[in-house]
Amino acid sequence: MEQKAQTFTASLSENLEMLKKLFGNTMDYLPRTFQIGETPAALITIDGLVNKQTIAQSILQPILSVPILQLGGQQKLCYIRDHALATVEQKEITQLQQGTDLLMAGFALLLLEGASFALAFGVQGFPLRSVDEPANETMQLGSREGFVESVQVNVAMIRRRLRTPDLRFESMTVGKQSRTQIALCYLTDRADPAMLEKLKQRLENLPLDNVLAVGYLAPFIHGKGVFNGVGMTERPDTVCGKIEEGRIAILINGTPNVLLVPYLFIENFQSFDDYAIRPSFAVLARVLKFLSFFISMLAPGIFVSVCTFHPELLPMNLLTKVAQAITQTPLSMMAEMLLVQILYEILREAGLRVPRNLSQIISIVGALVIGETAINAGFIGGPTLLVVAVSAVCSYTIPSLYEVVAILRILFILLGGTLGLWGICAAVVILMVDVCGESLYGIPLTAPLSPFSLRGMRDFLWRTGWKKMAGKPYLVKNMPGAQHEEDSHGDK
Amino acid sequence: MGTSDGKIQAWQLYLLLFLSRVILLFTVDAEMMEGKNLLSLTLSAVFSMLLTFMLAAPALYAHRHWPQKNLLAIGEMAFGKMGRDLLAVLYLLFFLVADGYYLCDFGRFLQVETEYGASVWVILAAVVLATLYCLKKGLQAIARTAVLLAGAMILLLLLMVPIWIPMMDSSRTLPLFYEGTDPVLRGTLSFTARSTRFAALLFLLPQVKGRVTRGFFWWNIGITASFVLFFLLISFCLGEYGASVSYPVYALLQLFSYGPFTRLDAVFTGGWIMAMIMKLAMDQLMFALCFQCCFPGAGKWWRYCGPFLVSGVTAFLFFHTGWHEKIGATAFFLTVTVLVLLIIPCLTIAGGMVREKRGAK
Repeated sequence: MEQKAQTFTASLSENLEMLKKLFGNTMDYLPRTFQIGETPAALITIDGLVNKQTIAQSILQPILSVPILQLGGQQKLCYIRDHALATVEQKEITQLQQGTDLLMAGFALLLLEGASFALAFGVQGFPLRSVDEPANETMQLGSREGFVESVQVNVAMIRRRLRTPDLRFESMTVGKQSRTQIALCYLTDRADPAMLEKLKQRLENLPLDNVLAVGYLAPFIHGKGVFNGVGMTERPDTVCGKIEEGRIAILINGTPNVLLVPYLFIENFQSFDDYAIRPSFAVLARVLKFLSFFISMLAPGIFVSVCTFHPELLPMNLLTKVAQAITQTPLSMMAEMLLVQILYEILREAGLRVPRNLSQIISIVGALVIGETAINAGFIGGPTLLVVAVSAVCSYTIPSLYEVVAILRILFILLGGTLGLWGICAAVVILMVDVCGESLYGIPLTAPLSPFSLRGMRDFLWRTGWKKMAGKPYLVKNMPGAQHEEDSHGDK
Repeated sequence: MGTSDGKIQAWQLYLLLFLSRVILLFTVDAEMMEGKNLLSLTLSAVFSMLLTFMLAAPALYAHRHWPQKNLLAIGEMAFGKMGRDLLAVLYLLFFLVADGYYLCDFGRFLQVETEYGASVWVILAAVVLATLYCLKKGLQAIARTAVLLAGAMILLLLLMVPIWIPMMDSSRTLPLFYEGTDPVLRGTLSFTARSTRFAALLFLLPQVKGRVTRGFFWWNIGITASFVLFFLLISFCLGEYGASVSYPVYALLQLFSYGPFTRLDAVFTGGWIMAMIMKLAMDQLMFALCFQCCFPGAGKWWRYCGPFLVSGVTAFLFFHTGWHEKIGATAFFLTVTVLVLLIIPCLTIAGGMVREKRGAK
């Protein structure tokens, strides 16, 4: 139902009628009418979202025990607001839309005959998942806390870590039907105001009806390239570290994932652990991740191209083994690699969706039936399976890039099988140009490598020690090539 | 196309030019100097460096005098709109012929030197498609990619040089002036003729920030030094065999052997492809500039696909008509290079300065 800009009136019955029209016969809409002195009143709540004990103790009991005063409805409500109630969070609202939004957020609305405004009280009491370590982002050192579905709890987790008044949270509502609350989180002295403004404009103009997960918002924020410039995390310590570098975090009610903008390409290879361990080991970890990225993306395609077009590149011992494996299998190298790759993706998807008590069956089917039996039967070769397995394991070192790498891997297999190494080289150049040409809110995705910044390299492939990095933050808005006037995607 | 700022740093431009110049290194052979002693090419590279300073001088001077104007804008100032359009047509044809030649050159290499199992035209089409994508992304994307590719290439070559050094043997090569000075002279002219990449300076310098002149000076010296190093490696590692093959650098890579890494000739070709895509992309940018000048009403499709189609068709024609050899002849190439880099720019700059003085009066 379209809601015009309706306001509350001084008539309680009219107000109740407006709300009844909006909510209809839904079972969780609970209006409780009562009298304050001789003045009719109503307390509106949504069942399941509020804490009934808090309502009873903090609202109803104080209201009903307040000395009866000979005041008009409006004045009586003001007296109740200022002298009677014990709730911390109180809001005075006049718009019906605002009232319904607050009701859905777990507020209680108090309406009084003769008062043309309502009072909303924060009495949330809906069930919440407890704070736990995020399953998708485990760290060796650092906090074991992860975000939950409530944006208020998440805001508090960030506030506890960054106890500076420069930390700001700006609330917005997105989704025409879901009216999802989101919060933009940033440090005023570090974030770029132009970037913040542009981001807010994009979020305000979202054409979505529902925003139920981060994936709904991300396409409207990130770039058009293969590697987008928006990151995700479930960790409050990671968010704090990122906003300290001038980034903006977007917390979304109903999901524990937080978006980070902008997200440079190099950040896919960084983790919070890098800053908690010795720099030398952090360097090793990052180098391994870089290598893993290239191996996971290119290894199957290069293997196919070398076996098909450039066997001279293989050492003789390896060449004889590969040749033996190829002759014993019925399919071409490209077809075999594609088949194994697709089988792996099917197994992976099945592993994600299968009920927990059946997950062992997937392991058995995958390992024994598909792996060992297929090789023994001569359907696929050992080298092919090995290459796919290695590339799969490598792809899990950089989980944020898994989806892109999975698709590119298949593309490179096709190119390697049809055009050889030359096709792969051409595709690599296209990929590089795509990444290098992308900017998000004026920040080039490939900074600080290209455009180059020597200062930015202190936290690139290697991690300089804290003694050198302390006190000298390198903000993302100061990245080389950063433009602050307009978005380089052409959105102005 | 690209960002509204669209400017790149001088060192990015020179790394882009490095990739273009590396293709010359890949294609150098004894035919260029019509001799057998590849050691002569070391001196040829040095002398060519001096000549290329001269060839680049008009572009660098024009940039100093009119930092925001490219050659077409100076041409319009000097000769009016018709003059500018004529310049645009001339350089459009130049880039078309140059790109067609280099594509054809690579196609012949694939066909003759490698036992490539698929159609050469398929890979050339892939290269041109990749170039089209680079063109769509713009100069900044091309320059940033060139930085990464050039960095990787330089690193790889630096790692490989210590492997080749123990293979050097002075008994394999002939003394420097064994065949007289003619090979040195012919090599110099051949290298100078293939300096067509400097046409980029005439069109792209207004979009470049930083120390352009000083950067060119050091870039030219660095490139020459790397050429000299490679010619020394070829001469002392391959000897007369290097003079008998069409692609000595390719042959050098075939000899590479370090642990499990042997026969890196495929890497050579991969490097050539990547460098060529960058070079073609840069040329197509300039082609598109000229095209837009000649046909301002042309739609986006033509601006992007025009260069793609035309270069592909040109390469096809050169391949099948034997024009490739005629265009590759040093005399023709040198004439075109001097015309395009020296004579036409000098005339245009002179015309521009005269107009400026008259306007000032």
